[in-house]
Amino acid sequence: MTPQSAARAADWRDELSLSGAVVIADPKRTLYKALGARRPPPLWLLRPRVLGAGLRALAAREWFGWRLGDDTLQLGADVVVDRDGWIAFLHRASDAADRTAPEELIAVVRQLDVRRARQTHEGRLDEQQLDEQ
Amino acid sequence: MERRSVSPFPAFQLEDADGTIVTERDLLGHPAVVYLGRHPG
Repeated sequence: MTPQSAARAADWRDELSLSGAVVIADPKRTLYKALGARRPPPLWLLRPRVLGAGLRALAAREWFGWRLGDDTLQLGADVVVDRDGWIAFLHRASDAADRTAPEELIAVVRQLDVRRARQTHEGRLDEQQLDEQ
Repeated sequence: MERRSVSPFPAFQLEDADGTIVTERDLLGHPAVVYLGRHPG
C-alpha cells in the first residue's frame, strides 16, 4: 500500500520487481487514517534513529524515490489480517525507522496457521464424538 | 502493546497499480500481511 497514485504505485512495483505482490494506491490516505497511521510534524527527520536509518540507506545506495508534491510526512503501519478479515497484528510506525521485522510478521502468520490447524483438528474431534453418540 | 487488535480490517475500495479495484474482501480466505508504506511507497 502506498499513499501515492496508481501510476506511482506501478512505477514503484516495477522498480522493485514486486510482480508477486498486490500494490495498492491510497492517495487520499483512506486506510492510513482508518488504521491510525501517524503523520508527525516535519521535525521527525531530526530524530537520531531516523537520521541513522537514512544514512544507512544512503550507504547501501537505496534511493528514496522522492518526487515533487509527494507527502514526506506520512508514516506507515504493518498489519497481519487473518483469513476471516480480522486484524491479528497491528503496528503503527512511530517514526520512519520504526518498522516490524519481516521475521516477526511471518511468525504471526505462522501462529495463525497453527491456531487454525488446532481449531480444525478440534472440530474434527467434536464431529467424531457426535458420530459416536 | 498496540500489536494486537480484535477489530475487523477496515472496509476499503482502492485501485491497485494496474487500475483494478481492490476491496477488503480480497483479503479474505488466507492470512495476509498488509504493509502500509510511508513515502514513497
